Amino acid sequence: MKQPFATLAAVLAASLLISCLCVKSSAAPRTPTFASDIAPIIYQNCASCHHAGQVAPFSLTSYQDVEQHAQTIAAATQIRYMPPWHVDNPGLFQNSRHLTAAQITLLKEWVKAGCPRGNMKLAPAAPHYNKAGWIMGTPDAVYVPSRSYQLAAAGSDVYRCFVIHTNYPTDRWVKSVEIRPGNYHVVHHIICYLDTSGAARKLEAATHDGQPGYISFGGPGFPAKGMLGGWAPGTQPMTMPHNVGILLPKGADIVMQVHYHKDGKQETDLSHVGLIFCKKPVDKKMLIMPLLQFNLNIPPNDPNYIATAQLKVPANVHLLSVFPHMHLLGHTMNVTCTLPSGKSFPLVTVPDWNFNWQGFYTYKKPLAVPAGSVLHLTASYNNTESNPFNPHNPPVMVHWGDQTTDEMCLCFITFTVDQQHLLQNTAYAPGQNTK
Amino acid sequence: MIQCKRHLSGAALLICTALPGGAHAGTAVPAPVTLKTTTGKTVQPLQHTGKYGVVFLFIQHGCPISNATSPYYNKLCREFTPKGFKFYYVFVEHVSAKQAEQHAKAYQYACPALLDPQQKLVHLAKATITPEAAIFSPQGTRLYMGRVNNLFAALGIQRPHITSSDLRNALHDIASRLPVAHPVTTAVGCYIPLPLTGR
Repeated sequence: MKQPFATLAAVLAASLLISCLCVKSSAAPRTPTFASDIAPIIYQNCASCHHAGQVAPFSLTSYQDVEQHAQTIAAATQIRYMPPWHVDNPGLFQNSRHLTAAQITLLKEWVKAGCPRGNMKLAPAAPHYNKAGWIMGTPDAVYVPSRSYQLAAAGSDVYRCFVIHTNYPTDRWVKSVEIRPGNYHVVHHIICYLDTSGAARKLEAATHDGQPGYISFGGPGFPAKGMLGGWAPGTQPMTMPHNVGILLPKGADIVMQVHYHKDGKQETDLSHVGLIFCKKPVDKKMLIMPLLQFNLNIPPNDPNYIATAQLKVPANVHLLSVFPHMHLLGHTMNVTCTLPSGKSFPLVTVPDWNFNWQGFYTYKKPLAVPAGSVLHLTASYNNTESNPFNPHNPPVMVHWGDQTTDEMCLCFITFTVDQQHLLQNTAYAPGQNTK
Repeated sequence: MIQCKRHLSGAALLICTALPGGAHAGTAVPAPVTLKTTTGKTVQPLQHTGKYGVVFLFIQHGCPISNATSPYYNKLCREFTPKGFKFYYVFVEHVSAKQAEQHAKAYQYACPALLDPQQKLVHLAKATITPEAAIFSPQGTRLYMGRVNNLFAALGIQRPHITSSDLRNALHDIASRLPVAHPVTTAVGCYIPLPLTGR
């Protein structure tokens, strides 16, 4: 009679021992080292900007580099200032630099441990970057403003629009766009718009400060005919999927809006945009739909003003990329898609909007959205003194507008229409104007 | 100064604290710190101060917030040097004199720049961030430590306008023979790395 109890006791003792061992092993985590833990994070997510000649102010391509800036790295990642990736949709977008919570903890623990090297033989090879060249390949055309822009040493940020004439006698289809800042010290981000109305030329002609282009904060200052993409630190060239092209209308002007951050000394800039044209006939045009809410009445001292917008999709489409846009009071933006079946999924989630870090986010794979789906946008705004970006002190009522002191609520979504087949001349697209 | 606290009367203590250097009872007068400027001149910045003191701005040449602060600090140099302050930039990193001098010229520094690769001044001021400013009295007492202004609310968050000119306010207080209203503020910028010799 005693044996079953003895067996049971032995089993319990063994279980207890195993659980003790497990507890013991989980209670003593390994100290992270540069070689095994930190180098892979830094080289994959930071070094593409943090190397000589690139946009970042210091290199992070060796142990010495990283150790020297270790505390700053830990602090900047902790608050998710770096790497600059301001959407919260892991796995949804291309070229994501989203760090996981575990990676951020590793960085913090490594600094706390005194930045141990570890076995450097196990460290990944430091990344090697070729000297300045076009990432997308040799462009067919390169556009630059008529002359360099001279930036003062100090003062507020500048949003300058440069009007570049393309002068093509016929429409062209663009396959890839790569935008290259001329001066990484001061160029913060660039957005390229298209204009066929002559509005941008008029705005430039009305500017008499002796410099090329004109000042415009929010957008380009006129209803744009289209967009050619943008650049922000870490941005990769934009290349259209198979059979898709961006229409560059005949005679269009490229309006290159450059956001300059003054760096304490006088600087000059001449940024470039390179285009590769489609070499094969294009079957689908990249279209842009703005999901927006014009009716903004953001009262002073409201920490959480909510604006919403929605749009019913009239045809089967594939979404290519999103471009959330607010001004300085913007706090969060959430865009979702509800399918006719009732199922919803996120299109983009901006947890902590920062006007300085806007850009296109391109889906890893174009997202299929059937006709009848509804796109929902919800944005929140903080119009109190606690918002350090607030341009008004004290806060005032703010409405929609182009100026720094105005606000916007919009998300551009690029897409193609499934039924559009330009090669078969069975084009169907709401508002399309392709040839 | 501890004895001063223990044995002097309240009135005497008041006089004691009103004098430069007596404001922070118990603060040891620092040993002389000898550093070189970017042009090769040897200086003892805490020994040869202005009438009201000496101001240091700790910087790193690769720190964007340090660099963006230069024009504002240059204005303070020009405005307060004639009022009895001596101003310095302090390179806290291991940087060659030639590289530092090139940087000083590029940013049109309005005052001399010191090289502090062993971080003697950094430790004395207890600086941890660049840009971070410190004011020392002619007697070597630290009167202010912290940000130059609040243009940067946090890393990556730049206000449209400065709403708190902390270093300027501290200079005004000292030049007016008043206690500094906010002697310590929190700086935003890049952490100061350990000196190479300390690794």
